[in-house]
Amino acid sequence: MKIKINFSSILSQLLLLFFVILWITPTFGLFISSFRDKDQLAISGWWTSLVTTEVNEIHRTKGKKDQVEDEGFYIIKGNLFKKDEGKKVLSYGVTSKNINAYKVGEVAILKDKSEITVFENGNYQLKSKSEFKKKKGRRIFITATSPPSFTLDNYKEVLFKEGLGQAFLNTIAVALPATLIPLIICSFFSYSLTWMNFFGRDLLLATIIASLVVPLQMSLIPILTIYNDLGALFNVEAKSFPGVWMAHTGFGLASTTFLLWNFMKSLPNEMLEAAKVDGASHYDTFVRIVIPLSIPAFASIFILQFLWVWNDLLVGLVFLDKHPSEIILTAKLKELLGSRGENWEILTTGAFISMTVPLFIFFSLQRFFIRGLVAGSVKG
Amino acid sequence: MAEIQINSLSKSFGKSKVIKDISLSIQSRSFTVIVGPSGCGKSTLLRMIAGLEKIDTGEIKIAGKSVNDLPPKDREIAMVFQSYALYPHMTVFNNMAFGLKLEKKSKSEIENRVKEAARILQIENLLDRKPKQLSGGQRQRVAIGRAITRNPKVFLFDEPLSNLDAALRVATRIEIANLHDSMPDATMVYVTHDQVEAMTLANQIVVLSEGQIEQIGSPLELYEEPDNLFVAKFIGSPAMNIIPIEILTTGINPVGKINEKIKITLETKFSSSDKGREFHLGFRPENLMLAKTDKNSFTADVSLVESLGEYALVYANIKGSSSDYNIIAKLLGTPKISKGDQVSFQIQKSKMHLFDEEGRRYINGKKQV
Repeated sequence: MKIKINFSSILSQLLLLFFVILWITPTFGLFISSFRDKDQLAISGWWTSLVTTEVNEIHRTKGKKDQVEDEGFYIIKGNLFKKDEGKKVLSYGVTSKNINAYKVGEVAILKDKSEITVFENGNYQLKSKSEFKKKKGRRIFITATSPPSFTLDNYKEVLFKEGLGQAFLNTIAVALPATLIPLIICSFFSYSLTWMNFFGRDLLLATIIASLVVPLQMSLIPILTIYNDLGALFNVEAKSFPGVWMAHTGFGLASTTFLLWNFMKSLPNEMLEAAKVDGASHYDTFVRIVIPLSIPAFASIFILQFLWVWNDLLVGLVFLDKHPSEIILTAKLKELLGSRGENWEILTTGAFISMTVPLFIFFSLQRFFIRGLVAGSVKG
Repeated sequence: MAEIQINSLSKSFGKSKVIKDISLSIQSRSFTVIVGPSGCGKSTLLRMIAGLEKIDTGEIKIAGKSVNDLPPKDREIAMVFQSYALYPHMTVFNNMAFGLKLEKKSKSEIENRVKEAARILQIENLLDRKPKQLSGGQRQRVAIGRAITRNPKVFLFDEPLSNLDAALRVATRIEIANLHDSMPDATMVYVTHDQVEAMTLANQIVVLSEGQIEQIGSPLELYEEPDNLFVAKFIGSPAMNIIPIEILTTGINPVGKINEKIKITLETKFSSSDKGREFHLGFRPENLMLAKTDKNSFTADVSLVESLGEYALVYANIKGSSSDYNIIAKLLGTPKISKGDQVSFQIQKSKMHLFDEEGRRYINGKKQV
């Protein structure tokens, strides 16, 4: 059999692979970085933390007050590493000129005739016939292997100390209603636009589609002015969660309606007529037939709108206050970028926290993207 | 008991008139088939009976009650759609129970009625399945079952078989005929473009063309005495042969001329003023036979023979005065005729149909109305 090689297919697969890697790499880097020790994060790239690497370090032994006398020798014992990091010493030196002078376990004789030995696990022993007199210990240069090490400390810090946890909850409080409200309104609206006859229906639809081209940035300030006036009139805060829900609902209305309308008009006409003959009112038809069949559309629109609201900075910034009980995740991140810009561990962790929910939503609702629910109603 | 009375019904979509002043009465308990070529308005008529299309002018009465302003559910009708129109997210049981649930019937009654309908249609083992797990024929049965459970007075079928393959179509056709027998109280209205379905199912056929009724009658009436050229050509397969004929002599044994050579003695009485008029002579393919004598026969050039064993279809040309006419003869058995032969045909006695210039049936000097 002749094997056919389809070059265009291979090319498109390779291109796909390229873009997948292009997209995944920074995300993955962010993910890794958020679990790294903040000191390591500052000096080395995230890719070095995945494998065992060699590091050169300078340590200092303990000073004279830790020495003990034993059979005529003065001995200082200790470990070079602060905590158990799994590092292994390969070689060491006692001068900065030659940091690899001795293998591990070898005895180095110093100028003052004292002897030093460094072991693989970082233990060392200084031995001298005369008493150690220096307050400070000796410097020891080591070359050690360092295994990958990760920590949850960054998350603890960011979530609880920096206030990102509260911001996360605030964003959920904004995003869920701001997604569900337009979805509910628009599902009713789209049904009536598709399956009910009323005066001015086509004009209404045209208006909605036309309003898709209006950028939301244009309407931010006018709406805020109205909010302020309304707030003053009823003596309530102008900036509040209901306000931001309304704003997101308004901005999402046109596109959500358009997408749902597009889906609903693809439902088979005869099926809805059959329901009508069966005695279903518009409400029955909507609740029992159109909604169950629209779940794939709802899911994809939910994802779109939710991600949009979740990632939104502008609307949240304009319609919510900046105090901790209202600030949203994106605004908080922006704030951290200004105040803690040099603390990478905080930024990477914060960024990754803000990504978790979109990722979760996408993966859990992804199966609804597969449109197969209408199959079987009509021929085909 | 539900007769349907349609009085001068009209309907237009925009500027195009789809139904033009139709009046029709459908007897209670009858099986009426509305048949016509696509675009003739037959589905629209059915949908107006169902209440899915608004009535422009005229009136529809079901069981003596005007239903013009009633929604479909109050008309005591059930409809079976061409595309089955099942609810894909519901099981077969729920599909059939949907209407009853909306009527808020008790659970046990719903169960009984669905089971009963399923028994009639032999789909009891499918009740837990979803429509997409069913074959086309099964889906159509569920659609019919959905209509039965509601126990309507009138069943409306909108081309229910046209999505099925040929074998299944015949089987389901027989089932629908049996269904009508098992539900003698129901009035059934059936729309199709397939005249075989119409001939086999109906006890009354309504032939529709361009929004107007061409003829109403029993299948055999339409077949044997078509009112006009349209019905003559539409009913019967292969279609009736139609060739123009000029009346040469009237009186006893009038003679008509097809061309200079072919002259045929006709059986119709003509008035003397008919002399020289152009008529249309129609005869069905099976009423042609090979001529035994020269009398009243005509020759034609065979262009194609389709031999089917039981019978053969012979396609032939008659040289007319101005142009050639194609005719088809249906001869029993396996006649020894092949392409290129010259064959002499005769038309069976009293099987000639005559239509005037306007295409209306012409009998004994009278135009049929």
